[in-house]
Amino acid sequence: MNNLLQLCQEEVDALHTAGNLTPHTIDQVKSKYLGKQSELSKQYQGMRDLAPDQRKDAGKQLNIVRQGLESIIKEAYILAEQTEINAELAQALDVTAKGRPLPEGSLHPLTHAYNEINKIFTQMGFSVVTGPEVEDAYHNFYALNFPENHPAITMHDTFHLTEEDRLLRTHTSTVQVHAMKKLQAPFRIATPGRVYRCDHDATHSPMFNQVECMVVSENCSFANVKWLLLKFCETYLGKELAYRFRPSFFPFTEPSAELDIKWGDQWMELAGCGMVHPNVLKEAGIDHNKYRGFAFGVGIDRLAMLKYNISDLRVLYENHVEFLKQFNASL
Amino acid sequence: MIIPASWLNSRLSLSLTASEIADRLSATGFESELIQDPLKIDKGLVVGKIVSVEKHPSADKLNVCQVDVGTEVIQIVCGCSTVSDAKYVVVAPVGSKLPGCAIEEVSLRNVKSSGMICSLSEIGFEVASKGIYHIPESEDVVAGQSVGELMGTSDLIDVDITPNRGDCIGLEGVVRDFAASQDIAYKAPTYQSRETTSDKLLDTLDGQTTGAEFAHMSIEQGVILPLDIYNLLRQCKVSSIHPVVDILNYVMLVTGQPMHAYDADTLTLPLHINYVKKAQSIQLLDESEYDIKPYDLVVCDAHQAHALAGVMGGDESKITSDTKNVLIESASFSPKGIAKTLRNCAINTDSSYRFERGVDPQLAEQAMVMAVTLLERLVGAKMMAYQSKSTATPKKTVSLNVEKVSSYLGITLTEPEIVNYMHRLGFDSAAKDALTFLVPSYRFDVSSDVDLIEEVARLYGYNNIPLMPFDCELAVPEIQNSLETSIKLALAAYGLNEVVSFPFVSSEALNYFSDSQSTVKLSNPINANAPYMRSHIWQSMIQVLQYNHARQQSDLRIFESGHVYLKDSDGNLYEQLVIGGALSGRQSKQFLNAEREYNYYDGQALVVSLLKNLGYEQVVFKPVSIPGLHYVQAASIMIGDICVGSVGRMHPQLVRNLGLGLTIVFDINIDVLPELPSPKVQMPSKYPSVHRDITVSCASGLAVYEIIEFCNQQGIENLVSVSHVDTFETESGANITLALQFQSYDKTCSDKKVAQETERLINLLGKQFAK
Repeated sequence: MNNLLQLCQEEVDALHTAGNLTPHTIDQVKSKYLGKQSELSKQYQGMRDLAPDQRKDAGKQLNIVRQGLESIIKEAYILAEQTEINAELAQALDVTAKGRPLPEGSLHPLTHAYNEINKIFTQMGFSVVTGPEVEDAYHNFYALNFPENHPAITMHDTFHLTEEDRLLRTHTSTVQVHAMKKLQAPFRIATPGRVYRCDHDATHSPMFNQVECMVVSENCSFANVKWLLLKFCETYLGKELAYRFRPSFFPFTEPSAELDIKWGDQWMELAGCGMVHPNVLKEAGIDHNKYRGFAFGVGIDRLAMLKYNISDLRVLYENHVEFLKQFNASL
Repeated sequence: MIIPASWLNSRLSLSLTASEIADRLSATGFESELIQDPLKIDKGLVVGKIVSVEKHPSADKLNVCQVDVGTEVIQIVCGCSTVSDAKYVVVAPVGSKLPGCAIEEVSLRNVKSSGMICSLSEIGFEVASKGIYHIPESEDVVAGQSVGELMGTSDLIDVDITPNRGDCIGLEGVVRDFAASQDIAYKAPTYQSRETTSDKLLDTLDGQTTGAEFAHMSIEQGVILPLDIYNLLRQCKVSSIHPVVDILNYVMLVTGQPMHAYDADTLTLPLHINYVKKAQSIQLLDESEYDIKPYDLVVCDAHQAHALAGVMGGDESKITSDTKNVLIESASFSPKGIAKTLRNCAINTDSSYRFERGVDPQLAEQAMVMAVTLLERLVGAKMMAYQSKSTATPKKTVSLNVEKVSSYLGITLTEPEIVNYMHRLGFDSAAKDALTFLVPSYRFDVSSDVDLIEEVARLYGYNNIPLMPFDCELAVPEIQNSLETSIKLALAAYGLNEVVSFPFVSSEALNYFSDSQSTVKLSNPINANAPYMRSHIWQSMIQVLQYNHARQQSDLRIFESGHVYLKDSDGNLYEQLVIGGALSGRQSKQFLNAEREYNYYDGQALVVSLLKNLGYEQVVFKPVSIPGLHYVQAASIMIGDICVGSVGRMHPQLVRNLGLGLTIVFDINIDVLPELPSPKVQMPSKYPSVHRDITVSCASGLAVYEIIEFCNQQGIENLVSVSHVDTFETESGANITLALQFQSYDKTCSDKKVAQETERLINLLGKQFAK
């Protein structure tokens, strides 16, 4: 009977030596020595023919053998697992080699800019409002105090649709026109969006992006819009700016100003601002004797170009994926 | 507008550098930059006085001239026949430089020549005349004088005049405003009025024209003007045409008053300024033909129109080298009177540019006197008749309130300060009230107090106004719909690159992907080949794919968010916000899977993940036919009954035409996405789920979504999900394998019950879909 233990041990050892000791081969060995068809099983069945007093001894003997076999099998399993683990541990890797990354997605730099700009405005208690891109001359010009046939209209290089009196908005002030009629003064809004002008070269794109901001209250002043515009630009660009305000002309503001900032050693035009012209408030049905407004408008493209150090506007709309992949997929 | 720095300095007796002037102009509302004069006049060029001219001993066409150049008399051989009539000429002595050549001593047929007598084109002017330039005699001209000094070389400043400041589209206007802003004494030019001697030059004065001056003069022919006039014209980029026209243009540049000269012998006087009564056509100076319409203001005689008022003269009555008698016009056309003409003719001239922005009605006479004086002096003109006609215009007044000015600007000002600023700018106080101001006739832009507040701010200095935070009530900003941002973020996380492209597409592209018959078209596209507004987001995305494909980037995963422009059945225009995506070419080698082309299911799976990510659980796909997509590899994306977009493979012919690889596209219409129910969280069941796979044998070509929908509608107990595992096409049909999931919230599903229900479903499917 002890022979069984020896045979079983030899078989396990042989498998191990052959490098073939796996849970599957052990299962087979287990079945051969402990299964229903095994010698041991036959011995147990043979006990029925023995006298009761002999049976007890024989049973004891068989149990010792069974425990021995079980212990060999158990050890074998442990050994097999250990071998497996050792093999896995032996799989050396060059951890400095490049893995296989998921495809890198990205968000367009303008999306990043829009997001940051909206964040700044909402944190200051502005509502971000959007509107349609196709407009009429009333919303784009006349409601904003552009006199009919005025050269200031010509300067806007407007895209006209073939439909009578339909055009692509040239600024997001159109959204302010809609909002002024809907909102109760006092209010403050920011209107970011795409705008269109019929002009295309290194510094002009026929489609570009703009954010305008408008505050209507009883006591705001030109000194306030100077402060807000500058703080907005400094917050977005993340640095203190050398700046100057210059008188300028927009039909919808009076006084009107343009903001230049020093970039490198050059003055660069960045934004327009001013006190909302009383005619604009009047046209929107706001009591212009009680309320005043101020407004400013900034090119989002220009801001993004400054932030990311992009020198040519056109790269924003060429969509070369190598360019785009440099921008994060998260906001 | 271009201003020579020397002009402003000499007019105001200043000695500022051009860059100082430009900075000060910018700070007061005239954005300015320095520009280089492309013409460099060599310092060596001097005025020469012809002492004697003799024929060359051995060359008929050459003359040997003795020329006094101040320090000495030099000998120059000159080939120009007019040199014997010349008194003062431009001399380039040995050692001086002309554009493109340096002057050396030469010998012409054995006669020494120590320099060159120059024509205008030789010193760098773009003029037609080829002969040497005869400097007109005047007390300013002296032998040996530097030519550069005589013609007035100067650093140039390019000034951007905003459209509200018509009063500054002339050198004098800028000088006047500069003096006011810098607090420098300014003396307006004075002139002696000419007496009206005739009422036969002009009859009707209509079209809101406030006045007109006409001078009928005889002129000498073949006259040459002084260098400084040619030079100012050149600096300001006005071409030289004829001495009379050149003088009128010179006066316009200086004063801002556009003028016109007619060949008087082509006219039947008197002229009329009125709206045309019957339609006719006119050939304009630039030789274009224009059909005059009833709202066009013209200058005409009894027979025909001779000019589009304030825009351009007619060809027939123009000045030529044969003209003996001229009629000079200096009129005050009003911006409103000619607005319609300008919009309809769309002709931009130096004249229309000024009139549409407003020309001071008081300038007409002043400019006319200046022009007539110059014509008499330089062109030998003789006055035959003069007529001045004008209508009185009342002066506008505007009042200011000290408190409002201060609080509007956020500074503290006193009445004397405000009054001082206004007076400097030429706004005089009305008799009774120091703070009520008379608006000067040249300030078309001032009509209310805010216009004057801007003037106060301009003189106070925009940069002297402080930055001031403002008090306001706390406000809760309206929450934006951020669905667009959520979709962008998800797509970027799935490894797609966001692109932004123009919405302009070609007629060819417009036919792809959309079967909408009505189109949205630009009447003035920037690119004539792309005059349409996209009706589908893919129409502009294919351009991005092509652009990258042409740059060795053929494996692309991109998405774009933007508007599409459509018309409803009544022809009303509307826009929708759409997100489009494209998977084109091959999946990267670096991805976990082996490299392979994209297929329909890559796009579909992306859409399912995306919509689940947003909270839309029940998304189904229905076969659909879309122009430009594969006939049987395209589906509508359905949420309930709403089609929120589509996904499919681009038509194999189209991708070949576009030069692209296999491309899968999808789009989601954000504006039609149903509102999401507020998030409802379900606790997971405590009881285990049971899975069974079943295979349905059915006819091939059956859409899986129909079978799944059928399963979901049979009321199978505890069936929580049915999903598609595989389709195996056989010769006689298809075997579709579905995975069923059973789960209960109250108990463990028994094997027996699951088996029963599965069996029931198999029977129902067999009845419904049997081959």
